[in-house]
Amino acid sequence: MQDPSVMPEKIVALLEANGASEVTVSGYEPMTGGYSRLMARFEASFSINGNQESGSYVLRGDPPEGQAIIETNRSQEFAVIQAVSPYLNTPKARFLDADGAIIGTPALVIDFTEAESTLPWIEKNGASTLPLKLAELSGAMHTIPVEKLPDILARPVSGDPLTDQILMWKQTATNHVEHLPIFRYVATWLDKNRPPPVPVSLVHHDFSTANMMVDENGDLVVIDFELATVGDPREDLGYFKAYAQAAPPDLIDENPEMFLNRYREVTGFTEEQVNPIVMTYFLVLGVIGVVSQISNSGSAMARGETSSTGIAFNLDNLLFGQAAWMSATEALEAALDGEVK
Amino acid sequence: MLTQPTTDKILLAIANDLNAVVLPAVDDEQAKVLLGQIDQLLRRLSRRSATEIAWMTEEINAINEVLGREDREVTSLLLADVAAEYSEASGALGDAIDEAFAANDEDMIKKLKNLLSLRIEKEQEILGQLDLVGRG
Repeated sequence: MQDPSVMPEKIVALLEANGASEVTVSGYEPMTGGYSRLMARFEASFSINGNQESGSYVLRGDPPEGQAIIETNRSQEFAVIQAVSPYLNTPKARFLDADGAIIGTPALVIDFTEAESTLPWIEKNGASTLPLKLAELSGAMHTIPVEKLPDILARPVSGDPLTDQILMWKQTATNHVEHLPIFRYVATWLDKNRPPPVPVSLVHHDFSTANMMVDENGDLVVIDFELATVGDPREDLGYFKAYAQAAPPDLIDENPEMFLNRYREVTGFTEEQVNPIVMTYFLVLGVIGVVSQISNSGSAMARGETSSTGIAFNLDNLLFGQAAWMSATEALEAALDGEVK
Repeated sequence: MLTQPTTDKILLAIANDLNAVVLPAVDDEQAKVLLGQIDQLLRRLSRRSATEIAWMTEEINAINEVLGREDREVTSLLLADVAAEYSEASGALGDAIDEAFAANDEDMIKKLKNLLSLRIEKEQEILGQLDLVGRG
């Protein structure tokens, strides 16, 4: 996917295999920022279903075998984007090479968006409007009817998303290449301090400013659904806060009351179900999806099954996480003690 | 063998050269991201290589003392052996955490949490500043 001399021809073949004709592709250029997947931008014009189209598109594919920081499925990502795009401000998924037979690696083509990365946008415009926009975006995502989501998307195996997530904490501690006592502490602590339940919904699982942009209307655009599942929607709020600790700003903290009021309004959740204490609980719980993937890759590298700088680099994020999770459990204990008194 | 300059100093020198000499000569954005990650990793490895065997041994002893396993000893100072013993002690610490929570043994939970705090303190020393190079 990194070779501009061969990729346009492969993209033409992919579009033609999906029913497009009169296809021209130009300006193929690898992009940075894909993090877990390889990405490239290109211009294309083609005819499909009787319509003539032209514009900018993004090819998003798996890195070479053994180089992936996390293992996810392009067919699932494609199906999720198609299912959620009627409800969300997100670039549409257009074409899929599920097994990589044409592109050389499993890949999908999505519309390119002219929206700007969130952090540069904030530097220019400030963050004051974004807590409300974030509440509306997350609320919209968490109220997509579950029956509209693709069957391929994982549902809670136990029937209860919290039980599943806590089990994943325990399994990650057990399956990692070395024992992780902090993970076991966190898992047990989470189990003992469960908040009231809410209905399950789509969970993005990497819901952070890194996966958002701001469009010309000042609205947030959400991208990258490769880790999505059906689960407890508050996992995304917690993950957002956890990520913001490592890469500020925390848009929720810009105006927590405004954020929470609007989010509750959109989702219909009560103050007991979503409040600052509950968000802190999910700050810990909600990261396990990504954390378990990082742990799996790190373990594979330790066993000599794979090797990359990115895997070693990401494993260090767990050190940051361990301090943040323990600190969050302490803050929550103090807050819960205060509630009891 | 030549022990000086020590491994930590050599790793730091490599990181400094990559940052000062190689990085400015690189135009490719993906290569720049990779160099940024390598720079952070080398600086962490420099701090880690200087202390990790002493740190793991110290923590193994602290865990064994709290868990009443004073008879266990670290007999080999080979990195792989110390790491294996450290993982074994970490597993015992994890078991003790589960048992203390199940028994609602607040005193024990406090002692075990102190061990975890000791670990986090060392980890933060190694980690230094976290910069998520490569994320948007």
